[in-house]
Amino acid sequence: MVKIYGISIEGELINDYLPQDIDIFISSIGWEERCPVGWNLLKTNGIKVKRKIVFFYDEVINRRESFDGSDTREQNIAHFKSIFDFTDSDISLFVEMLDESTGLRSFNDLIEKEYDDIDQFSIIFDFSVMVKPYFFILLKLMNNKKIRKIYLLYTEPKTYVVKKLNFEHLKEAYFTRGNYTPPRDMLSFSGCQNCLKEDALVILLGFEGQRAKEVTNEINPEVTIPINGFPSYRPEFKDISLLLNDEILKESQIVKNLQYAPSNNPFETKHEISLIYKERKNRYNISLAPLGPKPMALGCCLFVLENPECRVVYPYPMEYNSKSSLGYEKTWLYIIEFDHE
Amino acid sequence: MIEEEKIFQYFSDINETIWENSISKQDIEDWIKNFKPQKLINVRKLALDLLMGFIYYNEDEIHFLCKHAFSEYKRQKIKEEIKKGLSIKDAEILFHDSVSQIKFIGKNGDSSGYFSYLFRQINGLPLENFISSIEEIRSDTSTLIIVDDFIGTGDTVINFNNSLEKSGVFKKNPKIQVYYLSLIVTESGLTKIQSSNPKCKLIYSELLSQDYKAFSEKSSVLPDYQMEERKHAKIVCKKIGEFLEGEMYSLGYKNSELLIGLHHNIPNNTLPIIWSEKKEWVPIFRRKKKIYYSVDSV
Amino acid sequence: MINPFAGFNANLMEDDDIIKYWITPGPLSDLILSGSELISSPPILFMGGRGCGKTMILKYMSNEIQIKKSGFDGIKKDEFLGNLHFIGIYYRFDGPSLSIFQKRGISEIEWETIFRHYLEIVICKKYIQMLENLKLYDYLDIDDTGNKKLIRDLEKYIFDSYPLETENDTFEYLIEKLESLSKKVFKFINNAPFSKNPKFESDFIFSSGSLIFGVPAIIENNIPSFKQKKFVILLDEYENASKQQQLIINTLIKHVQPPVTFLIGSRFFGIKTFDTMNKDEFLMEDADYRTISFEDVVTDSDYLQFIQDIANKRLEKTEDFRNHEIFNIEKILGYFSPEDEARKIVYGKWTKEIDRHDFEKYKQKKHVHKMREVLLQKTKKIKYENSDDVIKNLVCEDNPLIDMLNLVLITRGKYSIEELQQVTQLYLKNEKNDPRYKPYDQLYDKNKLALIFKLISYYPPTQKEYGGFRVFSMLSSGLIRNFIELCYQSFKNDFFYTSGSILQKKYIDFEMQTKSANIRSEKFFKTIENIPEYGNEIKSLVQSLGAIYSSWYSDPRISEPEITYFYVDKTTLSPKVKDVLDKAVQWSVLQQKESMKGKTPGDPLLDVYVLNHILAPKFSISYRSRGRIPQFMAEDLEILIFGNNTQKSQITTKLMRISLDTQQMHLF
Repeated sequence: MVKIYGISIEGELINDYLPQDIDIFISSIGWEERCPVGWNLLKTNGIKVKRKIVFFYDEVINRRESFDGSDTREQNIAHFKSIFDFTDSDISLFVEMLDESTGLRSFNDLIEKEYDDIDQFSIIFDFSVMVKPYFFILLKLMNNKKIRKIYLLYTEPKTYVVKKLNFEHLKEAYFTRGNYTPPRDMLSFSGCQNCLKEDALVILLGFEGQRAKEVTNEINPEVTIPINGFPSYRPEFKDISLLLNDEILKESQIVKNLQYAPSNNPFETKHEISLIYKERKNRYNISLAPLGPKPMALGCCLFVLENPECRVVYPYPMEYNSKSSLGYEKTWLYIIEFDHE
Repeated sequence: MIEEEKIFQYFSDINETIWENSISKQDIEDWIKNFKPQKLINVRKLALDLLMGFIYYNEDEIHFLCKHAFSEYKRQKIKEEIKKGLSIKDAEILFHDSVSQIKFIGKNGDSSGYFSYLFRQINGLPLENFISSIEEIRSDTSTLIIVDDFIGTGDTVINFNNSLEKSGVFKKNPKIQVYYLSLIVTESGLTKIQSSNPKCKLIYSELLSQDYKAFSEKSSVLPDYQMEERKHAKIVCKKIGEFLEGEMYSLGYKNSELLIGLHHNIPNNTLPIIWSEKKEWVPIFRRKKKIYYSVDSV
Repeated sequence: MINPFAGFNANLMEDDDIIKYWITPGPLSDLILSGSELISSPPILFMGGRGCGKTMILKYMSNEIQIKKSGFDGIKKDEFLGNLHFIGIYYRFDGPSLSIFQKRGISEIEWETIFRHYLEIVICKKYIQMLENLKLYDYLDIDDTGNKKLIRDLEKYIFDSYPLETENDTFEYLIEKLESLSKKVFKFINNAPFSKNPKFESDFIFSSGSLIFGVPAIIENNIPSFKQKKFVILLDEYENASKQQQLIINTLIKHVQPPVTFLIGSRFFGIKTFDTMNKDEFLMEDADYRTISFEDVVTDSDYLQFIQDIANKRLEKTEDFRNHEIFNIEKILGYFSPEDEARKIVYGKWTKEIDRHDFEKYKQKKHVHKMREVLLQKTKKIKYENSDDVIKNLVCEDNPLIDMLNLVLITRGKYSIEELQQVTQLYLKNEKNDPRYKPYDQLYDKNKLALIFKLISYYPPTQKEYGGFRVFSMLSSGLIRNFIELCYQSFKNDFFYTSGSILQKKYIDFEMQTKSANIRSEKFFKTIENIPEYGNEIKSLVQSLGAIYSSWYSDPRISEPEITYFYVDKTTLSPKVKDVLDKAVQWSVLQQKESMKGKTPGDPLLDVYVLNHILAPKFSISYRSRGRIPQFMAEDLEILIFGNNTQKSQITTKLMRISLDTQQMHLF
């Protein structure tokens, strides 16, 4: 059993809240502009990091992002090492983005070999460009290892849509390409389904209504509770996400169940989910689909760590999209404390 | 489907999901009819574009912003405590114990009065925590929170702060901490308040940057409009606004140029072409009569 | 105002809503719901397209809903048990839940054991919960002593132990014990990724059928009124089970033991295998199972009545409509004939009759111009100056479809103009005794709808109307959900575009309905790409089919009037193309109809695929299927599905251009 506490801190204040020396910095790579922002913030604030562990996704380093497509895998690796100021003590873990079990294995092996008592180390974890299944499984691992405190960094994207809210752009999915596999349980987050209970599905709404529809069709819940990110990164996003999910909201009048949680605050998201859980747990199996922004997904993850009988369902993409966001805005520091009973 | 059909389909969807089914196609057509044809700009297109950029906060969203604003206050307080070395868990306990010491005040006689009632209800705060005038502030009051729904230019906050100074609250109670808590704040309002009184602590749920001024260079309301077109749009709206509500409100109070609405009201910072009912202008969203609530009545 | 058709996905309904909105779909009630079919026959495979209503039926058959419903209706124990032929145990194969029984560094054999064990626990829990439900509603036909004996017998059988405390003589206790075993399964699955060599361990591991068949036998022995009752395991969405999982369940079906039977709900092509765990056996139709297709059982006329009843019930349950006594969906949606639509196209308004006949004005109409043009081209005898006299006898101001029919016949050029004028006049005068009347009448009647499309082509930008109750029912393609969605969109449009005038007028304008049909059609089309695995390919195929079909509608001779389907010899297709077509059928994008005979005797039967009629508005085509275009060849389909854009374009054009030397329309 664990109880989790957390607070969001504005990035410009991190010096007041972070120790000057951090043992481990964890991140992943991605072609989005916000990829190195967290690391740069630590640098400019004079935070010293003893070791960096970075997940090098195959799908990212194999991608040709240069104009003439001449970049090679080796060049890409060198590029990312350079933006993270890699030294000899730093570790790159070469893993598959779309299969988090590879990441888990590599990371777990490393931890067992070199960080026997990891709960004694200070860890900061930038999940801005880390795919959700990865940070879910890594946080679960940390929890299993009885870690008591962890710092997380997240940099907001400037935007997901280039232009204003209008009907043309509503229907464009700017950050998905290709199809999705049918929704499935996130690795090690299958919860504990009681076949005598009906299903309640909590969906953290994103901009891809079709994904929400797929999840609902797969789970066939008796009750669906959508949570809209609000306040959102930009005021109009709250409307965009509702409009892009209008099919699922109308389908069974679940709009009347609509709840809200701030897009950039995992702890309020966790709190909102816990209210839903308290109300419904006796009658329903609770499933969660974190389709919205990553901080909200983090809130979902923290909630499920406290309540492991709930499951997390996710439509994994079939291929990687290199540009799921444009630019960057604020960086947030999330301080998480684990109270292991 | 042709272009305009798509736009109206969009309005149909947004009306059902966000505008609380308050608008019909006929309402939109009646509103557009207000606009006389212009040489340099297609007013029908302009009207539809402005309406598409309108951001409306429905009842549920307003309720949630109330909750969120208070959570933001809580977050600030917890931040202060953990900076001192407390754990988050202990800081939360400390905060819960301190809530009874907070005094809340709205500004009676305008939407804030109704609003402080709503704020109290949503956050489950005791009636005793709410005062209705500055005179009720005691010398042992540790925290005073002024609640409001919307801060546009910041003038109201500055004026209220001046009233607090004049009333001698800070002399009577030097340790008192004063917070202004608003659901929605504009960036210009925020800047003005902070520059007039750096000690003024402002907490808000939603910040509207300069992008949300309808005719600003980086306007997110009319991003497709080139400079000339935007200029003409502004001239047209200003002319109509001035005709309807006078110069001060021609583009919303003191040129706020906003396009926002709240469930319980449309701020006068919003372009008057949206809300004015004068000179036979048919509004698309109406400003409601002020709701007066005395704190005691609830 | 509440939209009575919001909440159109029955799968997402609460039990109370299922009971509230339930309508028995005619003959299906005799077949399945009464249980007579289930008692006498082997397990049933119940197939249906997505959105046809399978899940609602299966859920309705579950003991939970039947007991609840009887409770609501105040039915007493004896009557309930007397009417009860079967006990439905509903379980839905949740895709994500099933997908956890694989990988994670565990062998396939071990997963088989774990899945079998888990399935036994799930069904057993459901059996015991059923007993608890019956007890709650006082429908359990045993006294306290019998109850205790039943529980002890169950505990002995399941756990090979007797309860030590008398407080544990409850169904909840048994369920809790089973639940703790179920939790072990999930704990193992959740922790497996963190272990190097995960191994499943449990105090009990149940073998296949041990509880599924064993527990009902014990229940039957202990409760006399349960003798002769079937335990029907209603397994829904079987298509979500993996091949390995289906092997396990197929084995149970093959070796089913009374009093248990199965009713498996699946989409078309959802059965991945008919094999069992035993390599030497497989499921044989009729011997081991029977197939019932939802679409076969609910005939066209049943379907019309069915959707009408469903819709009317929703109206009755919605306050605004109840208060205004608006209960009849057929009246709300109305009906317009092809003649009505033809008049609207030509005169620009809905009208049953023309106020004033004015040939001078009428001859200026675009389609009449066209007729003149064709007439002058086809016959040298007629000069422009005297063409009016001819045209006058070939047109009918009240019914422009007559003009269109004659235009087509002139284009075909097989009949003399004099003959055509005579027949037209005798037809308009209703001279039924004339032998020429009937063939003309039949021709007209069969081709009315096709003639509308032709007429529209002369009046751009006029679009085809898709409104009216019957048209909506045809657009829905036998899938109830489509019909409800069309109604939902129509009501929504009425609320917004006409400020909810339906409450006063008691009908919805055809324009609103057509707008709704266009919207739903477009939405359906857009969701095709999200079909797992072959979404993009199916969408591309549909796009090509739409272009091909609509090209036939612009054929001036209307040689093939209402093309909305293609046929192919499936045995010649590559496995991948077959997969794509099967997937398209599974997701109701295409619907497979009765096979067609080949051209010559001895030729293999040809598989017929109809485009879901909900797509008709998207491509401006008919919502029926008539006519016959050339057979699609395997290589054409291969390219239409997997080719590049250039290749696809070439094939599409080729299929669009083929003209058929089919039999002409004969008048005489």
